Amino acid sequence: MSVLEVRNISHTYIKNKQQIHALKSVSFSLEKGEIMGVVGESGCGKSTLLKQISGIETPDSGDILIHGSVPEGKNLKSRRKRYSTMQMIFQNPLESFDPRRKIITSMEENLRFLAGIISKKEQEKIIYSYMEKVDLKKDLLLRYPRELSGGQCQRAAIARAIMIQPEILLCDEITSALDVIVQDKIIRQLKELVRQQEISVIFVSHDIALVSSFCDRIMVMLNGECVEQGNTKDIMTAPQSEYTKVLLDSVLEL
Amino acid sequence: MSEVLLDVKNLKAGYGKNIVVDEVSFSVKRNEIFGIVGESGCGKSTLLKALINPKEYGIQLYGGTAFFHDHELLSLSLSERKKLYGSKISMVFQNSASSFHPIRSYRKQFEETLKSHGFWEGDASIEKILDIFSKVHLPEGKRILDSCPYELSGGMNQRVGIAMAVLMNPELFLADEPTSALDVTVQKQVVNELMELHKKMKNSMILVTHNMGVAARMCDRIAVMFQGKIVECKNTELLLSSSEHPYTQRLLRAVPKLKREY
Repeated sequence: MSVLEVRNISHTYIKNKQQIHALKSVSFSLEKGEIMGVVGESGCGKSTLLKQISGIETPDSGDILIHGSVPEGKNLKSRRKRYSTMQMIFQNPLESFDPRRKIITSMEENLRFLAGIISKKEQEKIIYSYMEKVDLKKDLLLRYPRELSGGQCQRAAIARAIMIQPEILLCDEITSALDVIVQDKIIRQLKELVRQQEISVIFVSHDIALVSSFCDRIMVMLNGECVEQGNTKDIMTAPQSEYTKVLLDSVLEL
Repeated sequence: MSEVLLDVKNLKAGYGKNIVVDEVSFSVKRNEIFGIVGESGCGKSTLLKALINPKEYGIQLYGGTAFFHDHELLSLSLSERKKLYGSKISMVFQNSASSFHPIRSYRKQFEETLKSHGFWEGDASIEKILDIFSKVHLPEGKRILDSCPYELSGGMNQRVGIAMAVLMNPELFLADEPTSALDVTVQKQVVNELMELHKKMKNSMILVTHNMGVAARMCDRIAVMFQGKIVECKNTELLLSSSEHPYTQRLLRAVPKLKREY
């Protein structure tokens, strides 16, 4: 059974009294340990898609199934259950950490509420081991998010998301605000970690070159529709849709 | 071709005690596109802003010279600066919409700019603007002239910004991340349009960007900046094929590449 199945979800926003169809009947399924890249330009609906899957918003129509069942309820308990199997990383890590709390406090909270690890000692052990995995020094844990660089903060966000052993990881443009050298490092670490733990990943990005370098499968979106999806190899060597061809052609290679 | 248009020597600049640009020297030849690449915080934008107007950006100068013909750009008086910038030297930034007044029509803003430089010729000027609009592939130029910046998309505003910058056919065109805020497909179009314009107008250009792909496509020569210094400066082909500095090599390796081979 697929870890995640998305069936015909549609979503419409109302902006300036006009309807904007952000998602039009998008379907796909994600297997265990699979990394799927979602590519498209601004306004194509790729971030909306992640918001629907993560439950931040509810789709107008269609179903999202996790392990074959629709996650129920909106109360604290069911949300916690949902986020213990599903974690999200955003573009701006500074905004995803509580600015008034030290990094370690945010991580401890995640472990306590989402992974059910209460013992301080055990929490510490897990946090230290994951900090090592993303190549961050321990003393950064006692800092506030604003005292870290963008790259450090994003690596801390990855560690925080992965340490609770989620099954699904949703990444929304996680390296777009970073320099290429940092991006390269983060992608390597992320790939190693998700492969080790067999986490399924949806990796949203506008950069098709980046996505092609490490995703197993690619979905191309345009104006809220999925125009093409398939294995990375097929899309790279024989793209079917005209738009995919345009996207590939727009990459300015060295 | 080999005539030097801009000669910068030992430029040292920063903010307060922070030295951001450290003893940078380079020259830009006539009809050349000179690229300055590097990561955030390397000083590439500060370098360009120091050449444009250090005072306005709160940049302190600690030494160095920058000669453009006989003008020393770093010590220009306000009136000399006004005369030179806009007509001989022009610039375009990452977000052109923010360099315009958000709720005045482009027609008024173009008119005002041309008048302030003494280039306004009524209908003839409008014709010229429409001509440049078509060169940067802006259809329906008349409609755009009557629009305000907030009514147009990011790509269109950026093209209007470029059109404004090249309107008076400047000898030196300074561009700071001109395509970074755009979607990839639009970015490629704007890059191509800039190249077309360059071919037609034969002006020199300094392109500051973090995007190696854009720099490789456009520039004749590229300088790589790291922590305020230029660590390597070579012809583009040479830099891509045989870079010597370890930082340049790391930078080039980190650029994501399309995986075509299986």
